[in-house]
Amino acid sequence: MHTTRIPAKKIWAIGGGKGGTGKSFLSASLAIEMGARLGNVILIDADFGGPNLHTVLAVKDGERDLASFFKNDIPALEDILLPTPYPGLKLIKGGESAIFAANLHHAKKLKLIRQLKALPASGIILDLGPGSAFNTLDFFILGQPGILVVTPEPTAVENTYYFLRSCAARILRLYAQFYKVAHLAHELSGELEKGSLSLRDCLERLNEREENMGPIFLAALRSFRPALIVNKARSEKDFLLGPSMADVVRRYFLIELQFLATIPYDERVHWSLRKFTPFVYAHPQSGVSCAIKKVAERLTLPEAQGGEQRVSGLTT
Amino acid sequence: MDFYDLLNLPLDASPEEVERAYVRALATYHGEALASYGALSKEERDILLERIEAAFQTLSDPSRRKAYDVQVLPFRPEHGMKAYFRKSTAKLEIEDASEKKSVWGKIKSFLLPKSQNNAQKIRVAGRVDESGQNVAEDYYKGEYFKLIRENRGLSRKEIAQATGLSEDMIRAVEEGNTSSAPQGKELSSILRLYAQALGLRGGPRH
Repeated sequence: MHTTRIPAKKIWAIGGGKGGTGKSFLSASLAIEMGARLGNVILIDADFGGPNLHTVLAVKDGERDLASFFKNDIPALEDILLPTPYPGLKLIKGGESAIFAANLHHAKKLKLIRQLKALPASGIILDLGPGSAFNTLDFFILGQPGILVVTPEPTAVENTYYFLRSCAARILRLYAQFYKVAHLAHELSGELEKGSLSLRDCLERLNEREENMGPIFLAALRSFRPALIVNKARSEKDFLLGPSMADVVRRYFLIELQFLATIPYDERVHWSLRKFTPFVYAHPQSGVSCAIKKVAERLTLPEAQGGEQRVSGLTT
Repeated sequence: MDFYDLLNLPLDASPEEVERAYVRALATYHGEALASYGALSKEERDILLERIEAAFQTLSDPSRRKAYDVQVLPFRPEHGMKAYFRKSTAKLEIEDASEKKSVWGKIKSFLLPKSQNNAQKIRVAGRVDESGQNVAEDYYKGEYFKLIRENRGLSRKEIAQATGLSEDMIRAVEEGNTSSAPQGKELSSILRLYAQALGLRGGPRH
């Protein structure tokens, strides 16, 4: 039997808990940059509550979208790829039908993940919607790295920490199921999600009750290496937010958060969206575009796959 | 977690680095800090702020730091590595040799007083962030001095007594009130007095 070898690809998931932080804008902009760099990138609109990347990229409406895939009208993910006006970039449009109002069934989610990993592409960008539903968390954890987008506002920062806590709880549950201590993880991850228990305390309790499990779960958290972009920065203090948050996450969530970039606020972003023009094309020398290009450069470095870039937290 | 880990400092951190890390840590973890909003409980925050203060008081005092290092360094893995490399002193000396100054560098050193050079180094030392923008980490501002003052439980009155400034002036400087606070060189002088009252080494350049 002839086997086609699929080259290793990079998968990035962009999420973060709160709506309005600019995830779709950054997903589209990064996808355009990555498409130009890698030559074969697929952007997937996995915002199951409100897909709109086709609008951002000015891709004409088509019938082929994720809803068709989930309804088995179109069995292969490859068959719902849509061309875009941008070199090296294709789009999988999010579904707008009622199915996306409800949680995605586990089997359908696995089908999507399986086929996503088999897509012939150099890079895949998943634009996730807001919120911390299990499906959103699972797709975010799939990313290498999953990229959080936060704005310098208390609500956005708070939601980001909640999202990270939820990711950590999800990872602990999965490991607990594997090591057959699911009852314990279920109890403690519930406390974690409510915020009444810190991750550090959670791991200590796990270690007390199940000897030798603490280091295993700590290793599980260490293997989770999300990244962070601060968007819409308006002041000098906003530019310090990213490294500071990385330090907080390292200290209190026991997770290595890679700080990627701070994107300055630019009024022209609003107008470029209104005109359906990619900002990175309209204003290539702007602070926003330069920052996005730097992120694309970092993400496509060979060592970036494993997320080895150390976070520059509170050190000079 | 020792004080070096707490402030994310290397073992050979300079006094300026210690000071900058201290202010940065307070800016990250004080009660109204955005970066740590929703991440830790009040109890955790209070404990951490106490530790940050203790870390600064210890690491900024040469004799206290020396005594502290005796307790802590033997347990640090990089300390062991450093001792090993010390054996190959010849290569180490070559690598550690300071860069030769250019002609302009020598002229600059001659013309500009050393104290100003140091202040400038502290003031403009910052980072080029991932977007390529220079982020000046200027912590010698009234708002950060206020964090330190409040963390130590000091009142404006006490700072006023220590500096000879009025409480109103201190409030204006802390709040960055441009209508009532002085600007330019006068502001720099006030900030320097305030910094000295807080036991900080650096300060804004004129």
